[in-house]
Amino acid sequence: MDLMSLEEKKQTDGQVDGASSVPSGGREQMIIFTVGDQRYCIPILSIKEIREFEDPTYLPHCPTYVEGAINIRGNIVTVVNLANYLGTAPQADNERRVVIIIEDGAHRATCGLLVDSVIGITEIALDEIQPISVDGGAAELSGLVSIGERVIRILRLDTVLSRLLGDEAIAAAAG
Amino acid sequence: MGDVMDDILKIFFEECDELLPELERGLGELSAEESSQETINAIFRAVHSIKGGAASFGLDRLVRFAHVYESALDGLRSGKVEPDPAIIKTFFLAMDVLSDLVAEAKHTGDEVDEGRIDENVRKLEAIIGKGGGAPVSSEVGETPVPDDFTPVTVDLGGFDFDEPAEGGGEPPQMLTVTFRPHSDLYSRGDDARNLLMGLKELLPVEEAGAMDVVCHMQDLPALADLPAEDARLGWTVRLPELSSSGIEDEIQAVFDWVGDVCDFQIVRDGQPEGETEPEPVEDTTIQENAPAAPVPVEVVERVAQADSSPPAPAAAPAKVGRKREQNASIRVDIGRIGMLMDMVGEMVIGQASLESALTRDALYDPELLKRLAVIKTLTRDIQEAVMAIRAQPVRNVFQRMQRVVREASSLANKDVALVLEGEETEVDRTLIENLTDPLTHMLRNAVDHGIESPEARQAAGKPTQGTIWLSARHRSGRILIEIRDDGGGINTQRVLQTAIKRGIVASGASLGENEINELIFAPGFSTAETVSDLSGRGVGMDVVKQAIQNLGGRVNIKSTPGKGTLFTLSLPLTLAVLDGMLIECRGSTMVVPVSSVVELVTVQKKDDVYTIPDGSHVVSVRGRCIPLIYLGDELTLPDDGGLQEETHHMGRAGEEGQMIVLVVENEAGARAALVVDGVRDQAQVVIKSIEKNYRQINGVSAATILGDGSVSLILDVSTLIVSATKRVDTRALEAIAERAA
Repeated sequence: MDLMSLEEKKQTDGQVDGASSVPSGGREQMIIFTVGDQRYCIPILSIKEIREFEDPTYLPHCPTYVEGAINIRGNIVTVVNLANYLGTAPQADNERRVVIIIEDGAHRATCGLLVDSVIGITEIALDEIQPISVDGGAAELSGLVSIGERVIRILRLDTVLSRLLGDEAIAAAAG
Repeated sequence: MGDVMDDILKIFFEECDELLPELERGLGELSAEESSQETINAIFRAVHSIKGGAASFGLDRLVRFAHVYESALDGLRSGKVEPDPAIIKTFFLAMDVLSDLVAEAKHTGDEVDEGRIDENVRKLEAIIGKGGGAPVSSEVGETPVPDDFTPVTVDLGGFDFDEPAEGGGEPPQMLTVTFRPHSDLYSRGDDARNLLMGLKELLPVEEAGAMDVVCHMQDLPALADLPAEDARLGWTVRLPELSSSGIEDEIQAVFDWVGDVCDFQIVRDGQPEGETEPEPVEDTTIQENAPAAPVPVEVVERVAQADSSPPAPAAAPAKVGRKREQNASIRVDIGRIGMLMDMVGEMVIGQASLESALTRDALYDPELLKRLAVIKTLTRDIQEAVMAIRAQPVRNVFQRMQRVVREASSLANKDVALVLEGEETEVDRTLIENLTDPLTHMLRNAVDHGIESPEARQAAGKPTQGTIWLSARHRSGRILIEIRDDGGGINTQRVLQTAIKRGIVASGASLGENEINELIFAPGFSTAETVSDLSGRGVGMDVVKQAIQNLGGRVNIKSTPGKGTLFTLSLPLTLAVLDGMLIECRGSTMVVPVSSVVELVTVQKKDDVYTIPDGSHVVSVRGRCIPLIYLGDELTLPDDGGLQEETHHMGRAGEEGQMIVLVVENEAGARAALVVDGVRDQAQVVIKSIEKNYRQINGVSAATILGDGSVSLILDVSTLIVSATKRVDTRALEAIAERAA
């Protein structure tokens, strides 16, 4: 997988961001996917499964980024259209769209993320993550990490879920 | 460690939740004079187990009170005290205190007033006469739970306060059981104590004192030399030969599970069958020989002494040898049952898709379909069996009502008896949990408003004690709960006047008796002239009706002046399943609860639909104007994909000028007409929460999964109606109705 090799190359280069406030030494496996022309990643441990996109049931009064609800073995799971959520244009005529089912420990909730494609798995050193200030309005992302020439955005899953669960949950998370 | 303790504590509270109803049931039987020794034992056991468990957790207040309670009950058990109504009432009140103390310990209730405890303690002590007949009183709050390993001499004898052992005429034949566990027995997590308990349970409670236990400690080295892993102790138990000839088998059964890790021997007195006499009994005063070492120490096994029921954590293994287990049950996490239900649901879906594949022309095979039918029957049986696991008798809720009535009647200075019927009727536990509040409210109302004051009752020639009947029974797939009182019935005149005063009914309106009775369910209605501690707290019968309706049920009232009132609640057996009507709208299939559907009618667009000035529409169905809800618009259903559907619909409507409306009704009787594309089917659907993974959706109460595996929304009829009626001015409706007529 080319990503892994890219990352390995970077490691041998020995570039470490010393200014990072994240404790050093930790590494985390991430899954990388594309939405539109951007690449994003989330921790692999938050993923329950990846499945083909099937037509969901429309949920009334839902925000534009909510695609609908699907049945996963008896559970009703909401699917988020990440392109709409992140405000980017999805790839046109994409047949490879998949839904990543994630579970968030803090909310004990499950949701599906509709993405354009899954690229692969990589391991990221936590101290290479450049945090993004939430005040800047980027609550959707928790940080950036560069692998080779590409910048990969790290998606904040708790924001996705608290938005799905409603305003009270956001307030609770913020307060 | 903290977590483990928390878990055990949780189990203790769960057990309290089971023991308290058991106590209440026992006391109920006692007051109904259908009690036996077994009932009294059960009562005693319940209090004792709570005390024992509470002691392990250092819940001192609970232990102290439970102890006094237990002592008083002991008077009853030993026959020193005869249960008369006053004493039983004291026990009931003490039970309330006990249950409040449990709630306090659980942090779900307020702190119990010290004065109230003292008062109840005094009353309990008065029953037995302070100090007398309470042989266990010296052990208050003692918790013999040693932290380190301590050899224990278990003395199960010498506590014949129940009934003197010499009561029997001739000295009974004695059986001697000698046993010595191997260390493997302990490494399995078992305990010699369990064997002793098992043996003790073979004896009837009143004979328990006749068991004599001696511990052999001669093999025990000094503490310094003691290999911690070795088993060095043996026991000799002498118990009377009972009339039941199978006692030896029963003893054998106690050792069934440990036969390979424990030597044991049964010898009958005077029978030379045993090769050797039991080993000479080593005096238990051996500890005097152990210099300086604080062990072995003689400790009296308190639990075994007072009762056969062990404290909470040891309960499970001790039951092994017991043959007379009444209700064998296991505790299962509700989540696991939910999972099982989900999977059975999935199985039904898989089966349906298999069936539809098999009925297609290419694969059509009658033989396979026949086999599939067998599996279908099985699946249905499994589904029912899973539902049955969740079913619980309504007894738990009903018995809680005893207390409600007791408290309400003492506050209202009335004498009211609650008679329970059909407590064994089983319903889904989700329903049980949700029944408590409405029932509490209705019973309080029955005491406060239904039953007259004793003076008024006397004047009316009724017994001063009022009676409320609470009954449950199954009827055609639903549960019917009736609350009947022998009070004065509903004063329709007063109800009507109040309704007029509060502006619920226009003055001069003439209402039928039933309509007037229905008024007590109107929001804001209360006839209570004085706001008592019981009623008039701002929650009225409308809340009850709402709650019942939320459970998919209906409430009916029947009242006979001077004779009493009857409330009938008709509820589904489960909250997990709903009778639904599957409707189509813009290509989506949705579910409307059948309980809220009034009728399905086809209306003429041209003649029946009126536009009112604010732009909304009403439809006239047989002269009654009903606000119209275009479901697709209301729920903002997307038109895309359903375009073809839409044009088809429009075409049809255009051609015939007709549309299909589903008239629905909410709990307050308000109606609305939903415009739908069609009705597909009627089916029982499994209710699934949306809110677990998503926020609340206006107009949607939950979701379900259809036979093809797709998600379908269950409509929340009441919020749909509220949003529609808010838009439609009711005065405009009246005007149109006049015009239409």
